[in-house]
Amino acid sequence: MNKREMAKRAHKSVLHMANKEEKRKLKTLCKKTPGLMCHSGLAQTVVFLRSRDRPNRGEEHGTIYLEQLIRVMAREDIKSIDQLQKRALEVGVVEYIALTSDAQRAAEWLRRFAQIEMVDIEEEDDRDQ
Amino acid sequence: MTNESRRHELRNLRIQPSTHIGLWLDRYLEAQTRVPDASRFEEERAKEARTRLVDEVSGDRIRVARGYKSAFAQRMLSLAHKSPENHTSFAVFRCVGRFIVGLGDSGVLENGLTVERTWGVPVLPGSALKGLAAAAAHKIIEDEGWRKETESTELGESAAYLFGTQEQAGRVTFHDAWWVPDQEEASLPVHSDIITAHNTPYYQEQGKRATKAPDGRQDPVPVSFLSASGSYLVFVSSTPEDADWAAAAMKLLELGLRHLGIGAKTNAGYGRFERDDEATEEQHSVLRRQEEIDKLSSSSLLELFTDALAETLSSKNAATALCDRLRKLEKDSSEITEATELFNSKKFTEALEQHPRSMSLEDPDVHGALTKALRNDPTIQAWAAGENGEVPISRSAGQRKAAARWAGVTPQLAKDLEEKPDALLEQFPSAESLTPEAQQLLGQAFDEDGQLSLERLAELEDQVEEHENGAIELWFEMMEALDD
Repeated sequence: MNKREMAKRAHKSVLHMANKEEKRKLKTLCKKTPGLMCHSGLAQTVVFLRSRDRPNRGEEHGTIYLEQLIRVMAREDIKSIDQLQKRALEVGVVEYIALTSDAQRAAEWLRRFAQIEMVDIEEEDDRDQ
Repeated sequence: MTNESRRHELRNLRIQPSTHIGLWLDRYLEAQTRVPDASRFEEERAKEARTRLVDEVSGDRIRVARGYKSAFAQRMLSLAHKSPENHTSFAVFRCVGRFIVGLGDSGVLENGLTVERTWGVPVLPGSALKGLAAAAAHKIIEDEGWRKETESTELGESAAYLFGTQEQAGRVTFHDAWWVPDQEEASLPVHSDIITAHNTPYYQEQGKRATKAPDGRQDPVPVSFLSASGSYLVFVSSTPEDADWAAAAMKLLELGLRHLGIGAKTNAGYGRFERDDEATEEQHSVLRRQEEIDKLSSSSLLELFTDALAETLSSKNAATALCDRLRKLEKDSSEITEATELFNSKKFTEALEQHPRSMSLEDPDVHGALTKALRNDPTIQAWAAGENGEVPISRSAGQRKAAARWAGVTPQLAKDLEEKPDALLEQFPSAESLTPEAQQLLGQAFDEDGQLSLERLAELEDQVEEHENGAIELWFEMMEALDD
């Protein structure tokens, strides 16, 4: 996979997220997700991020982040969050490792650009109150 | 839409007593809640999954990994090792109640617990201890030198020296405090705890315009989380010149752990510790013992080792030789009586008791030979045939046990073989206070059936007088018993 292209896509994604209403929470996610992925694995991370949404309050930062992550990964077989979750839960070990490392690389690019492009945005603690 | 969060391949994995709880908490949550458009049923399931995960790792279910105890000792010895560059001070602190450290760590459970990465036991992280010491200095000590930098105070000199600044590292190192294991493979001191949020909507709307008053009619939401207890070995180290600073840090920790508490929910009473002087002394004595061993010259150490080794080897060789002999006898079945004699010999019993392993019990040859030998023993044969046979008391306890174990006899026989009460002690419990010689002497007054015989008792009179007072008294008591 071409590193530079991935970086380009990540940059675009971060700019997109910086314009969203939930940018504070998105910045937190950008910074924390690579660590969480390393710590808890891809499958758990994906489901965890989806569970962060509060559709009734109009907060969908988990979904927005995952959509951008998928865009950065740019894999032929994964076009939607549902597909990503399904793949992450169902594939065999070898493919899971490959998928995780792809996702991790994408998440790391998102973090790098978030640290540059979202530097002025104040972070928000994503933890439940 | 599913809100499954454990991978399909791992779905059937169940927690074991040896599971590393850190890994289990991080990766094995079965389901998560609040996926958009999740059904009520799915939400319930996700909630249950979370509670279950907490329950699974708590409440004596998980044992500490084998080897933790020696790892703990090893770590203590290496941290406390005295050298020209290193001075260490340590103490054991016992948790009064419970504590939570790492509640806010990022992870899918959201309310985690810090555990040691390799061993999966709860720890007090060095960073948390250092923070606590700094807070204790700021809040408790009156001297201005201990203030930390805030809006109203300037960084004090002592605080800067001990804890360091952006420019200069602190002079004291705070190490992670490991849990002190009370025994090998003890259960982990991790508990499931619960906090129930009442009036959730009110608190969620705080800061915005609150529309719902906290009227106590909202659903209470129970949230389970993990807490820990137990004793912890706290270490601080410095260079020998800064030994006083290390002592000061220890004192600050003692104050902080007692009055401020460490970790989360200290306002609710979590995280209080008290210094455990007894346990601290115990750790010091372990250290002293090691230092004594270190002081021994290598030659004297070698000597001790050689002696111990030679002793072990010689008795092991004897046991092995006996075993080989038995195996040879077994090959020639005409010699079975000799095998029986060998088995009954004292030598064999001693070897057996000392070296059960080297007797290679698993070896079918040896096992078969022993069984055969035992079955040929006339006493056992008689007993097994139900002919009122009695197993002689002279047989040692070891032999009786061995017989029961190997002969393949009935459980009842095994029991009788193991427990053959002494007629004297049975009928006259006061005999217990006598010397063994006196007991043996008076024991001769009983016949083979365990009955007291006047004839035999009368013969003993002269000999009993030579023993201490208790013996002759018992002799009279026995005489009286006969009269009755």
